[in-house]
Amino acid sequence: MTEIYDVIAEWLTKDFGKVTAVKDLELKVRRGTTFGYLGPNGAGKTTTVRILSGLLKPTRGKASVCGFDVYTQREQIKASTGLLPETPGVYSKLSAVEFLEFIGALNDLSGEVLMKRIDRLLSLLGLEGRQNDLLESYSSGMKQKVLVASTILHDPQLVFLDEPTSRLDPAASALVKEIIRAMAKETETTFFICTHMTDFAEDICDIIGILTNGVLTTLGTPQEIVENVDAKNLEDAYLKIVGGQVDRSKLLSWRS
Amino acid sequence: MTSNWRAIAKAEFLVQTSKFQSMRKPLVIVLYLFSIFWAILIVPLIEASIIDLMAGEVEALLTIAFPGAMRSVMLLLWMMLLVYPIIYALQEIKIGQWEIMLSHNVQTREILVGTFLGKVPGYFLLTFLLAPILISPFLIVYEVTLIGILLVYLTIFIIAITTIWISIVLSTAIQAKLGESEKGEDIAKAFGMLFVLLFLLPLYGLMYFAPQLATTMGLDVFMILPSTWGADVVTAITLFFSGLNPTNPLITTVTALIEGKSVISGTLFVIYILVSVIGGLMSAEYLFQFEAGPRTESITTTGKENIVLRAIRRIRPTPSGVLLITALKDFGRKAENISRLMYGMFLAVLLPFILNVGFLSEIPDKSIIVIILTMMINLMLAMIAAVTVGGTGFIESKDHLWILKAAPYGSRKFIRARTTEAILLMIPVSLVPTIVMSVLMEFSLVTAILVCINVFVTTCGGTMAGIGITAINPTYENRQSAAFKVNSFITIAINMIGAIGAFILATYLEVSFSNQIISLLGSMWVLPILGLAILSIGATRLSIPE
Repeated sequence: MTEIYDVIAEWLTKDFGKVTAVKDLELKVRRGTTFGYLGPNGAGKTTTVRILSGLLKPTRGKASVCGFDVYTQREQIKASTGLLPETPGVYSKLSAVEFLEFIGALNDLSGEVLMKRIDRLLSLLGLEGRQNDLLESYSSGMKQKVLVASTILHDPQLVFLDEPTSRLDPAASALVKEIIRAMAKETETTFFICTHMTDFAEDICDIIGILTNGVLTTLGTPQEIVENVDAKNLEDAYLKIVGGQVDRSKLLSWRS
Repeated sequence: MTSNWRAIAKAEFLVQTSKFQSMRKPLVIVLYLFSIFWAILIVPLIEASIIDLMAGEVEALLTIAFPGAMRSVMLLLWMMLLVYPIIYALQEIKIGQWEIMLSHNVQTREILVGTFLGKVPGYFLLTFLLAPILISPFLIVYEVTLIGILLVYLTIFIIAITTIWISIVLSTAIQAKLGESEKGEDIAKAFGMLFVLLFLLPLYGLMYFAPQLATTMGLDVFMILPSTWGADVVTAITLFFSGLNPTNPLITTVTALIEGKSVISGTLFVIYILVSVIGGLMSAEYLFQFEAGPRTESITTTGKENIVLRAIRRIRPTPSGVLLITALKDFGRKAENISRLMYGMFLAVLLPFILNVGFLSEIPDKSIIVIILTMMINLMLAMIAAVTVGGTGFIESKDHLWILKAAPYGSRKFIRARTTEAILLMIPVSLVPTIVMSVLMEFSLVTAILVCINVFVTTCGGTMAGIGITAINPTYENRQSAAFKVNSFITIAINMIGAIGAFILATYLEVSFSNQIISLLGSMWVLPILGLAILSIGATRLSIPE
């Protein structure tokens, strides 16, 4: 049986003036996989996601997403993928239902099918009591739930999630994990997740890539990564790869 | 009061001068030195040479016009310094910053004083750069001594800082009250626009009806304005330190004009300063008390859709219909948008009334009056509607833009929905002022219909241009950004060019064919063609990946 890859990147590079945000990225993500993309702030994770979702033009290199070329078939890529951005960009003056209706319409959905999906998703995410309240009164966690719903509303083949659980409480975070697991298993949806949370990635991702200064330095299963660097867990491995281990002797030096 | 005000003043000053961050100190020093040279040397020299070039009558005119001109200058300065900071403050409710300050045990009074003192250097500079241009000609013809000049500038500075102080007290009080509510920011922005009207209308009325009031009541109505008191003090100082012969007939005339009034004005001026400063300081702890902690939460739940939205849903049950409904809901729920449109409509209604009592009544050709009025309404409505629909009411944030772009052809679908929404909104916006004008000006039914069509089509063109420009250079909801100011300027300029172009074309058609149908319907396409072209460029630019 031939393997289908939803993400294929070859020598993918993005420069912003003199700064290289992503350098010569070589990556393949198989369909139905949950891929964790780890790296410190400013490593180039969001830039990669924006290129792969058709929002940014790469400077050089090749890439295809769900079989579509990132240079010439961007609209097809957008139709096959869902993107949860890093910060919530919701309409403050719309309710959750209205916002999801808007996102559905942008993806050519309307009528009863759309409304049923909205109702079910909001109910699943525990927002059914607040669904008609304006989003301006939502907490950041609630807005994040609405955005999670908006990302999967049109049932995409590939879902890009940029820090999906950073604003969520533990219960909501667990719920999102279960949704990801269920969609990956039952519908072969591929997930490409950017995150800082190593425990979340270790828990849910099949394959993990670690990006440092725009370069993909590590790729493998969580188990492989931990074993390769002789670490206790993924967080320890991440700190060994990326750096940033704490020097305890300096922790209180600022007080003197 | 502890020294917290110093830290607040410093922070405010740093905010005010943030644009020159890297060379703040040298630039401030250079600007201050320049302003001194500007006020004492450069402006007087330039203006003296201009006055010398003119005939002697100019000097006589300036001498006799001085007291009245001074009142007008001071009124303008007072209005600018009082109204502008309040409107600016209403655009950005700073409750978050106050909460940080209050969590460090800072008193309300300290916030007030610190904010005020942080702003003083900037306004000081502004006063010394602008005031000489307006005052110098009079100081020259009155041959005022150096001490006199310094005293005049000092008085103007006192007027300026007292006005800024009142402005800060008022805007802080308004911010505190509005900031208590979750909807405060929304109300503040809406109120910002109405504030201009609330302030300008009584003043306009005062100026307009002043002669009648003075005749019937035997009062100098302008004496109720603090700016008049300051102006009269400046006039008195100028006369006192004048190098002209006191027996000069012009001097005796002017002295007779303000004699008596200057004593009253001087007294009122001192009282005004004392009451403002002491009153502001004392009221700080009573008028507004902020408490660090959560603001009052208010949750708005959406109700049933109105008849218009239901009708759109029935006519267009497709995704494009849903996008249109969403666009209308989002726009209509922001009080600021509605207030801006109402403001434009109000000015458009007021315009023919003002013009009719002015120069229009003297034009014999009725068809030219129709064309002039149509152009005026078009200009007013197109500019305000374009800046409202295209500027602040377009895309909320960069993240919002990413969401739009992530959908297939998302940006184009969004622009189509926003443009349709703008066209629908322009129906009442253009019709109400046009109908009022038609009734006021006693237009025939045919003329009224033609003007309505012309104004509607032109205004739609203007809003298309506004949306297009914002799509080319998205500014989101940041009114303080340079991009927003540039966009607003370009939008207004394009609308002016379009409306004036349409006016020239209409006049040409009217002169050539003497037919209102041809002139009004033939000229209305200038702005829509311009708008459509800009909109197409904007839609393409917004769709291109970065």
